[in-house]
Amino acid sequence: MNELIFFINKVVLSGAIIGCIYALGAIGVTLIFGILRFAHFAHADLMTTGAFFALIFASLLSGVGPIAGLPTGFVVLPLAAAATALLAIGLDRMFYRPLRARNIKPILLLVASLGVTLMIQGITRLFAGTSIRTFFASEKKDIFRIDVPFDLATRNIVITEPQVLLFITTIVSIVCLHQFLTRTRLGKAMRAMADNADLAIISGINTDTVVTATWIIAGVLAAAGGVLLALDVALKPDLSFNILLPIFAAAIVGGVGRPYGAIAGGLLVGFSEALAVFNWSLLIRPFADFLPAWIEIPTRLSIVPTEYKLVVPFVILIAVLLWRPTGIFRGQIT
Amino acid sequence: MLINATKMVAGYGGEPVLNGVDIELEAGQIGVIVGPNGAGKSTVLKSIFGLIGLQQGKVEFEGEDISDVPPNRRVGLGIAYVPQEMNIFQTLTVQENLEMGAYIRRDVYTSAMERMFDLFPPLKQKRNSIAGNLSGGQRQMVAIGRALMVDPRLLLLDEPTVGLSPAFVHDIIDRIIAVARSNVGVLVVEQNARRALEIADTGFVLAGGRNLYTDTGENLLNNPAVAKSFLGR
Repeated sequence: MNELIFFINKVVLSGAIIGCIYALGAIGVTLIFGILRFAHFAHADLMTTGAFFALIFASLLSGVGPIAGLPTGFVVLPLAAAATALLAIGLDRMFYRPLRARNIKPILLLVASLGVTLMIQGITRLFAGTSIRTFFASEKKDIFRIDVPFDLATRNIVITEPQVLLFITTIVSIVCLHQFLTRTRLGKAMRAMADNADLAIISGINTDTVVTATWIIAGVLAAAGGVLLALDVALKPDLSFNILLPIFAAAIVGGVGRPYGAIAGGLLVGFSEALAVFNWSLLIRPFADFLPAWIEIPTRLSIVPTEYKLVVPFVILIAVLLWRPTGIFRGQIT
Repeated sequence: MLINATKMVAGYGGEPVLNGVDIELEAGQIGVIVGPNGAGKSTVLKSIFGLIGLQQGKVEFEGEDISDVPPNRRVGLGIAYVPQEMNIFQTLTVQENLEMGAYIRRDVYTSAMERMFDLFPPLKQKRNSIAGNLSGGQRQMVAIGRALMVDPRLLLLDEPTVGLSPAFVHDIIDRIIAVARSNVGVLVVEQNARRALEIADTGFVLAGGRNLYTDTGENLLNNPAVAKSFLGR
C-alpha cells in the first residue's frame, strides 16, 4: 500500500504538477505560433519575468497574503500577469512588429526572439543577481498530508498549497480560454486568423487586435506558469529557461497551433518525465518473494537517472516528429 | 454604375499582369470574366478588392474613387471577395465561418444568417459541423455565404465551380443568379466559360492582361471569333 502512495506522490502528482506548468507555457507558444507563425523562444523568459514581477509586487504588498490566507506571491498574481502581458505587448511592438512590417521570413522572428531571450536574461541578472530567492522567506508554505484510509498505509499523500493552487489555476485558465475561444467574437477571430490569415484579412478582421489579444493571453498564462513554478520550487533567473525544451516539446506533441493539444502535450511530457525518473524497484520489491532467487532487485531502477530528465522530452519530440509530425491534434505544418 | 474600373495596370512585382483592363458592372447584374490561363482573370478581382495595388488606372465603387482604400475597409464599403482556394476557415464550424464573415458588423446579424441558410439549405443542418469536413460543394456554399454575411453590394467570386461535380456546379450557378436578383452585383471569374456566359449580363473576355471582347453574354456566345478561340469548338 505504501508503495502505491509513493507512486501517487512521485508520478501522479509530480507528473501532473510539472505537466500543468508545461501546459501553461505551451498554450502561449502554440497560440503565438498559430497567429504569428514563429517559435517564440523568449517565452520561457516571459514566465521567469512574470515570477520576478510577482516577487516585486509581493515585497511591496507583503501584508496581503496572510489576510487572504494564501501565499502573497499567489495573491499578487493578477498584478504580475498584467505586467507580463504589458511586457509581451511591448516586446512585440519594439522587436517583432517592425520585423513583420517588413514582410521578413518567420525564421528571422525566431532569431529575434533568441535575442530577446538573451536580453531578458541579462536584465534579470543585472537587477536580481543570480541568487535563488523564495516567496516563503517570511511566510509558511502549507503542506497537506492526506491520510489514506487503508490499514496497511502508513504514509500520506503529500501536496503543498502552491501545488493545489497550481491545479486550480490551470483548470480555471483552461476553462476561461475555452470559453474565450469558442464564445467570444475576438476569440473566434483568433481561431480564424490562426486557421487562415489571408481569409481573416479578406473578412475584414482587424489582425492587429488579434495579435495584441494573443500576446495578452500568452503573457497572462506565462506569468501564471512562472509564478506557480516559483512558488512550488524557488525563483532564480534560469527558472523557466531550463524548461524551454519540454514546453516546446509539449506544443509540438499536441500539434502546433492547437491550444488543447498544448494542454494534452504538457501533461503527456510531464507524466512521461515522472515515469521515466521513477524508481521502479520500490514497486517491484514487495513481489520479491515471487521472483526466482537469482533475480536481484537493484536499489535504483529507473528508466533514466533524474539528472538526465531532459532526454525525456527529446525522445518524445523525436518520436512524434518521426511518426506523426503534425502532432496528436494535427497542428499546422511549418 | 456599381463598379467602374478603368485602365487597371497591376501585377505582383516585375512585369504587370494587367495591362489596362476595364471592368464595368451595374447593381443586380452578373459579370463574367473569361479567358485563357494567365490572362489575368484572378488578378482583376484582386485589384478590384485591393489585395494588390494598382500601378495605373483607378477603381470607382458607386461613383467614389477607392483605389487607395485597403481591402479590409473595402469590406465595410460593401465589397466581398471569395478567393479560389483556401476560402473557408477549415477548423471553424459552418456557423462560425458565417460569423467571421460578419465580423465587421456591430449590429445583430441573425437575419443575415437565416438568409444564408435559406439560400444554402444544406448548411442549416451542418451549422455546427467543422467546415473542413464538408463536401466540396458545401464548402463552396460556406465560402460564398461567408462573403455574403456583410450584405455586400458587389460580390467577387474567383472560380466558384472549380473541382465541383456537375450537380453542384448547377447548384452554385443557381445561387449566383439568386444573389444577383437581390440587387447585388456579382463579378465571376470562370474556367467553365460557356456555362458562365449563359448567365452573364456582361462578359469580359481577357487575353494577355487586356480586354479582348466586352459584350452581353449572349452576343459573346454567338460571336464566332470568341467561340473559336475561347469556348472550344
